[in-house]
Parts: sequence; C-alpha cells; structure tokens
Amino acid sequence: MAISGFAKTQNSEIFYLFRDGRFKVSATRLMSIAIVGFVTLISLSAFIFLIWKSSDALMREGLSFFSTANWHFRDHSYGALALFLGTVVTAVFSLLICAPFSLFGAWALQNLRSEKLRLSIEALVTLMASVPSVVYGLLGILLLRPALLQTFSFYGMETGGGLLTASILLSIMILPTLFSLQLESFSKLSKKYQEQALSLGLSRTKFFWSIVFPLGLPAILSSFALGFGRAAGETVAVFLVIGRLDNKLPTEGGWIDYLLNAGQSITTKLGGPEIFISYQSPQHESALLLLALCLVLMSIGTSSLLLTISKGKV
Amino acid sequence: MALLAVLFHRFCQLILFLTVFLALSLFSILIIRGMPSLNLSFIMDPMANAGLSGGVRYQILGSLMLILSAAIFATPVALSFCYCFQNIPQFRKPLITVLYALNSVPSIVLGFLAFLLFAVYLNWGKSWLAGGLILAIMVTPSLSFFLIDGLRALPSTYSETAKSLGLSADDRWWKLYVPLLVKPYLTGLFLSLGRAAGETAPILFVASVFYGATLPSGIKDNPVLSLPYHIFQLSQEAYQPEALDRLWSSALLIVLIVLVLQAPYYYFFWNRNRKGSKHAKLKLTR
Repeated sequence: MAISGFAKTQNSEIFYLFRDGRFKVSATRLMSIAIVGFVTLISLSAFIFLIWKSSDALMREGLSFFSTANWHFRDHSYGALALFLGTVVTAVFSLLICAPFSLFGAWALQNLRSEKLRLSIEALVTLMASVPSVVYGLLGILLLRPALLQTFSFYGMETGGGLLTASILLSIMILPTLFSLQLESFSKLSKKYQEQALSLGLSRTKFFWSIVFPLGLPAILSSFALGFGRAAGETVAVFLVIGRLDNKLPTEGGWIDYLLNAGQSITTKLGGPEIFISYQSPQHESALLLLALCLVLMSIGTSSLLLTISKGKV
Repeated sequence: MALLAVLFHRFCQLILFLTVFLALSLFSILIIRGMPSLNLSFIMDPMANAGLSGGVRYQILGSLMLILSAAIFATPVALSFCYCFQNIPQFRKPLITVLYALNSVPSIVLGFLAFLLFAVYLNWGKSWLAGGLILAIMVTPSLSFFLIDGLRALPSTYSETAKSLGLSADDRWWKLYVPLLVKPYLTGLFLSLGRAAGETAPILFVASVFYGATLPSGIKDNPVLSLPYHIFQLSQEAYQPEALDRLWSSALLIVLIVLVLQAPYYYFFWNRNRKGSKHAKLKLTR
C-alpha cells in the first residue's frame, strides 16, 4: 500500500537520537513532538480538571443532580433535570423538523436533470452553513419569535421565546450539514446502482426506498448524530430565543405547554451570567463544571457514535 | 402504485423548493434589511451612543485581531500535528482521537474553561490574547484535518522519488510536503478562520466587551470589541429603529466577512464539483 507519505517510514523509533552509534537530533521532529505533546497535555489536563472540580458537586448532590429540577443557586440546591431535558428536547425536535427536509430535499436535488441548477442549489444550501450562529439568533429573535407569537395567538395560545422556537431555529441551523452529508451519500449510491436499477425497470421512488435508503442508512444516521451534537452544543442562537426560565418540567402543564413556554438548556445556563456569579461560591462553580462535563461527554459520545456507525468514512 | 411513486417524487420536489425558498429568503432578508445603512462611514466610524449612531470600526478591528492571533497560534500546532501524523506511525491513532475529541467539544465549554484559566487563575481579566488562544484551539482540529487530507491527496510517486533520492524525513517534510501543502493550508485556514470570526460563545467571558475599548496596548486587562459580541448584546436590548438598522447592517457585515474568508474553500468546492460532473458526463456519453 503506497499512499504518498503514508507508506511505511523507514525509521520506526520515535526519537531517533542515536543512529549509527552517533548522537543525532532532528530539530523539526523534536519541536513538533514537543508542540503536539504540549497541546495534548493541556487538553488532557483540562479534562482532568473538569472531572476533579465537578466531582465535588457530584458527591454532594448525588443522583438528585440528574433526577430533580430545583436549581436555586442561592439556596445551594442544584438539580439539573430541567436543563438536561431542555437540551435533549430541543435537539431531538430540531432533528425531527429537519430530517424530512434534508432527506427528501437531498433526494429531489439528486434527481434534478439540470446540472447548473443542481450545483447552484447545492452551493446555496452549503452557504447557509457559513452564516454565524449569532446572526441566526438575531433572525430568531426579530423574525421567528413574533411570527410564532402571531400564529399561536390565533389559536388562543401564548408563546414567543420558548423551546419550540429554539427547536425551529436549530433545525434551520443544522439543515445545511445534514443536507450536504446525505446528498453526498445519495450521489455516490446513485452513481453506483442507477444503471442496474433503470435496466430492471425500477421507478425512482422504488429505487430510493429499496436501494438508496437502506444502503445509505449508515450515512444518514451518522449525519443525524452529527446534527444532534451540533444542536446540543449550540449556545448563542438558542440563548436569544429560549426564554431562559429555570426548573420548568412538562409535569406542570403537559408537553404542549412545556414546548410553547420558556425553558432552559445546559448551554444557555452556561452562557448566562451565572458564570460570573459562581466566582464567589465553589459549590456553585463545581455544579456548573459538572454541567459542562456532561455536555462534553454528550458531544464526544455522539461523535464517537458517528465514527462507529460510519466506520471512519466521514 | 405508480400514482404513489409520482406523488412521492412531487412531494420531494416540493420539499426541495421549500428548502431553496428558505435559503433564498434568509439571504435576501439579510441584504434587504442590512443594505440601507451599510456604507463606508458605518465601517470606518467608531461606535457612539451605545449603537444608536456611529459605526463599527473597532468591532471590525477587534474581530480581525482575534482571528489573526488565532491563525498565528494555530499554524505551528496544526503543522506539528501533521508532521507527527506523517512521520511517526505509532502516533497516528492517538492523534486522530485527540483531534476528534477536540473538534467535538462545544464552544461554550471552551469559553468557560478559558474564563477559569485566564481570568480567574492567571488573573488576566478580559484579554484579547486569551480570546486568540481559545479561538486557536477551536481552529486547530479542522486545520489539521485539512493538512492531513492534503497530504493524503498527494500522488505516491512524489514521496517514492524523494525517498529513492535519499532525502531524510525532515528534508522531505521541508522541501517536498510543506510547499505542496500551501494550498490546502490556506483553504483550511481561511475556512476555519471564517467559522472562528463568527463565534461568540468562546469570547463571551474572556476577550470581548460591549463598550469602552479601542486597540489593546498590552495583554492583561486589555479587551477588544468584536462584531459577534456587538450583535449578541444589541439584539437583546435594541428596540429603537435606528439601532435596529445598525444591528442588521452589522449582521450583514459579519456574514460578508465570513463569506469573503471562506471564498477560497467554496471556489475549490465548486471547481471540484464541476470537474467531477464533466467526467460523469463523459462516462454517460460514451
């Protein structure tokens, strides 16, 4: 296997200081190993710091950190169920809203005959990915929130900033990622199987449901995992529209009420002013760091899930 | 059954139409609302009256400064990652794991950790350098992936020839790979810098303030203004029409900056697609 520089290198020792009985130092190699080691050390120590500091809150709160929803930092009670639920609900709902658009939209784009149109639409959707999240937040707070308020007040329900608004905004934000990943897998599969399918007389719909969808399922699932990670880690846009109301659970007034009303997620809690407040209280800081640790574990989990599903092909 | 198939096809086309409509309306709203007060004096003037009048001069300069320092810090790190990946086979798997893990850490967590490190323990206060460093950590994984992919795309004959001529690993690195990696390096750098330029969460606590900073003169307690933070703060508070106009203009401006930075990536992306489709056409006609 001779792939450019990836073919087996001759010198397998990591630090080849001594060669042919002489002392030999490669400055480039030492320097790059030092830099890489430094960066890896810093990130590892940051992770260990996170675990070490947050273990305090975990010890004190125990399982009630994950199972109760009473976050009152002045009384030193930290129960983060509402935050976890907010993160998961917004991410899952945004995926549910986004999935049909990306899936069927990408399939329709793959089937367009005009090549110019196809490339321009692809470029347009990809351009959506480079709009910064704060601009999406601005669009959400100035356009989406009033629009939803109007729509739902017609039915006699009050909403505005809330979990539903955040989910819709997130679904727009993750659309380009999902769309381009799925389009890539569809175009690969189409190229591979289209001639056989056409010669067997399959319709395009039959082709999609019997060949492209089942064979592309790993890519589709991994794009969903990526989208979930993005949606769960997004801060600024969600911060502006979610309403940031603490300790709200669906048990109080049902799921519809929960979705329409203001809520809170892990990232918006971390993005809020509590970081500055926590400066005086180690318990508070430790609880916030535990939240951050959970967020990191969640996103590393989704990204490793992505790697296992797609077997490193992404 | 045939009717169902046709219906599904039309349904997909409708969905695609809606998606394109969404994308077009997003960009046209930005342009229509942002264009009227976007002019040269808006770009050149400093802010006055808390965003009601004046422009965004120091916000632009601050953002540029942040991403420039991020580029300066990220370049040697990404190059070293690429070097170790290339020359030390034992390091490949752990390096990829580290890069993936770094890539998937949410930006707000990086911001929080940077706040604890720089502002609390090192007692820097808000500092532009802390923002640059944390943005460099965000930029590093994607830049390294670009470099590694660029290395993988080189034809194998190059390195085979170099090896047969007896060049050592370091000679090959400096005289063969580094000159050939310039294009993927620049593409990846500008793409990830564009992403970093629009990030608010990491610089929220450590680097940026809303008002009262010009160009920094030192490291400690020297924050900068920055465009995303400006939009973030104003969008929570501004409901006067003049302020809203300026807010939309700043949003359009940051989108334009990001698009200009990412233009090389899109150019190559477009070209690659065109080349691929040409070959596909040749195959079809034959």
